[in-house]
Amino acid sequence: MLNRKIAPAIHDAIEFDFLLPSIQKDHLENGIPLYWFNGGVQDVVEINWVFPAGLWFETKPALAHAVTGLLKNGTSTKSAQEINEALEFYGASLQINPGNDFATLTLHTLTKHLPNLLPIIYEILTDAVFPEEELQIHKQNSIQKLLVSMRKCDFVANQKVDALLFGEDHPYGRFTKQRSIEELKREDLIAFYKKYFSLDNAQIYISGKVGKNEIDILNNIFGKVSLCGDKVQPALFETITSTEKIQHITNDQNGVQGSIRLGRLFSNRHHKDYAPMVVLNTLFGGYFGSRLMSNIREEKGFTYGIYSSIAPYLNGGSLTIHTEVGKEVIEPALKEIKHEMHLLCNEPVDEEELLLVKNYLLGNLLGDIDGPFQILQRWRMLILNGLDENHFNKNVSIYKSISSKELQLLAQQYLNPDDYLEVVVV
Amino acid sequence: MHISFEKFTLENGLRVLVHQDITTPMVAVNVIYDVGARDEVVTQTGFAHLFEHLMFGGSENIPSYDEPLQMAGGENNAYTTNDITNYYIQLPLQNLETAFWLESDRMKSLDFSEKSLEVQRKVVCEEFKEHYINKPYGDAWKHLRELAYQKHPYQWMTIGKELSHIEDAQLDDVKNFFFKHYRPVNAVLCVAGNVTTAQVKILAEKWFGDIPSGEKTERFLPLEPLQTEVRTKTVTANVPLDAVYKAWHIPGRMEEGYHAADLITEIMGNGFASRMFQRLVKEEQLFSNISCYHTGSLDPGLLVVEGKVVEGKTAEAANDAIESEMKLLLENGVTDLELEKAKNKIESMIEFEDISILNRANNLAFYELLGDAHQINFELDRYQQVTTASLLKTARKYLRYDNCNTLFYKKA
Repeated sequence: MLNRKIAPAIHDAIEFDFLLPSIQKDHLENGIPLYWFNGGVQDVVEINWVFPAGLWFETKPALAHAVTGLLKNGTSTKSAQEINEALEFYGASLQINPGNDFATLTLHTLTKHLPNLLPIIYEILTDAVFPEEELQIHKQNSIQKLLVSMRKCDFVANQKVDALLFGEDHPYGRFTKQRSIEELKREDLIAFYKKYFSLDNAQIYISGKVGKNEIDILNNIFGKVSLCGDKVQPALFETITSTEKIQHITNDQNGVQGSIRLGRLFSNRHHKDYAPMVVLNTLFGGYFGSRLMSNIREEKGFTYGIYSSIAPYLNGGSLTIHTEVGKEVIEPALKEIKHEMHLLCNEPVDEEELLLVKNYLLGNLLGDIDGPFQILQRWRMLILNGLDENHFNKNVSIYKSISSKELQLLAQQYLNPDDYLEVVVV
Repeated sequence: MHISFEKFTLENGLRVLVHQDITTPMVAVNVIYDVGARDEVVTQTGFAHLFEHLMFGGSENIPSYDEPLQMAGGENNAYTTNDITNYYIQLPLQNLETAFWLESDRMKSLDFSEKSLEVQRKVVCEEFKEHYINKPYGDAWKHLRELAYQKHPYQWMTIGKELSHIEDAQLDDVKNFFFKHYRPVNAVLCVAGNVTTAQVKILAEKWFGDIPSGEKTERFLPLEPLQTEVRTKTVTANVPLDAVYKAWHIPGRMEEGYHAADLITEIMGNGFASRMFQRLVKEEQLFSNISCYHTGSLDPGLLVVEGKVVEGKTAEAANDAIESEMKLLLENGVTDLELEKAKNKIESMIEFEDISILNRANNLAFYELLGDAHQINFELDRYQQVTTASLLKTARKYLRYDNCNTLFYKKA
């Protein structure tokens, strides 16, 4: 008779070996760095073109979003419609995202269509003209989108907490206002594009079903043009954290929920506490079984979800707790969050829970480095942060070995409620 | 790419699919149940979805579902649609049996704890608020469904018609629902990863073999009567912009015309190069954004066009422009190039979706629930078989003016 009360034996993920497969590190003929990884069974590729063109490099607010939003909306020989038609005809998708530090173009396509698509990407990256009419439509529609977003308490709370943590003039704390969009000028877009989207600053990553043939095509299109060698020098910004620690805002008189954000500054990936904090954050609010979720959702039913997360950027970062709770339980929820922080500061985590968190984290890591896109994405993160596989290996060993004593010391340093800003938006 | 699999059925009627992929260290385990919001009664909506939450509240022999799975390095989630409820796990291959243990025990019997019901009622109410009340246009789909469906249970969203239905749910309802729908005979299990059918068979028989079969769900859902008159509804709310939602009845998932309708959404409004984005957003600047999609449901679904109207333009003018685009489609159909583009997009989409073993496991189980998992490998052909002529026929049959439901969502 099967005894269902007894769990099948498991293999602890902390005993697994984690090997980040190595990738090809190359250069195109003209020196553009190329990183590639061949793998998978589907005839698909993902290509990223990465530029130092994120919000960090903006000379005016809302500029990076406008440039990335309009990059494929016209070249000297093609209209926006012709470019989109050319991409979509082959079933390809091209996403262009401005991050805080980098701007990234991501192309997904069946490998067989690469020869037809790469010339279009090249044209976008070397000959975008940002037509005035396209800019006007972009402004109109971005403002409308912003008006809708501003009615959402979570959107407003996210803006607010970053602005308080980093300062509104800091790239990581800046947020888009209607006026900034209205004041965008075509010549600003062109200047930003010419300086930061220059191929001199590009890195290319390609993964999926790729071989010599695909690399040759890439080289023929992107590797022949000569570069002038001008590299962008990033500016420096001062982080100015608000001294006003608590902000409760009413955004919607009829709102039935409040968005809670508790945040503090944290480091980038280079800091010695970064990897240990990944473990502590997972335990605290980083997965469905976390302390926060277990208490505030699964025990109290205050919310549909609550998480804490580390946002690491090149030059700093933050640690934020975020949740949407019923309007009438905002105060009890805040109290419980702080209670969970105190608990981690005051009491060591028991061994069973620690093992569970480690196994969960590492079991997921195994899935996260499974597949060609994921492997190269992991490498891209390392490379853009100036790190390598040693960093990956070191982090894995920290995830496996960290003790409850170390976690408690970390909690005392990073989970002290007094160090957190509090934003609540109804 | 061809997706291979093997199938066997346990004595209790549980259908089991095995898809072998030797390249991955992970394994996906998917259990799909033949129950969704369409199986609810009008006075007790949102129940299938609430029930999905309760499936994580502990089972007869296992007090916590999540903890043992996390200890085994696994991750899981679930979702409910108007048609089905799907549960899925991904975990390291070495710990595959943990997934069998957990999924079989909750199929055998839930714990039916009052505490879990009490908490999940609250959690789902917060989910309801977060997604459907506390955000602009959050209730648009509630109105659209009620307008488009007068008889069929697709007239409510999976979250439910109103909060009170969830607040009033009782433990007896939970038990009845479970023993009616969550039985082996109404479920499909799919395992994908570096496994053999022999291995899976041993595990399936060991863990699922002794669960009573249950009764196969027979549905007597009311058919939605053919719509013969345009329907229009205007809602006013505290939103920053007017919006227009339009919905036409289209064929169900397994019916003639479904694939053509899907291709029509691509051509009309999916992507920057689509007809309506180009003409109504870029040229006429009536909408700040527009999209065209369909509900993909098993019973006849809806093809929807929705967009936010540019400040200074009227919702009526914007609506007229959509009508004109539809009229043009019905008169002239689409070009060969447009159709080829739409097919290329579908081909690419399918190929990318199949990269993940979790998607492959989910899709295999879904097609098996529809009747035959082999259909997964004929899906692209069904799209390829659509011609400009058959597409035009479908468009004329379903995208008629009098088969349309229009919701004007206006700012107060």
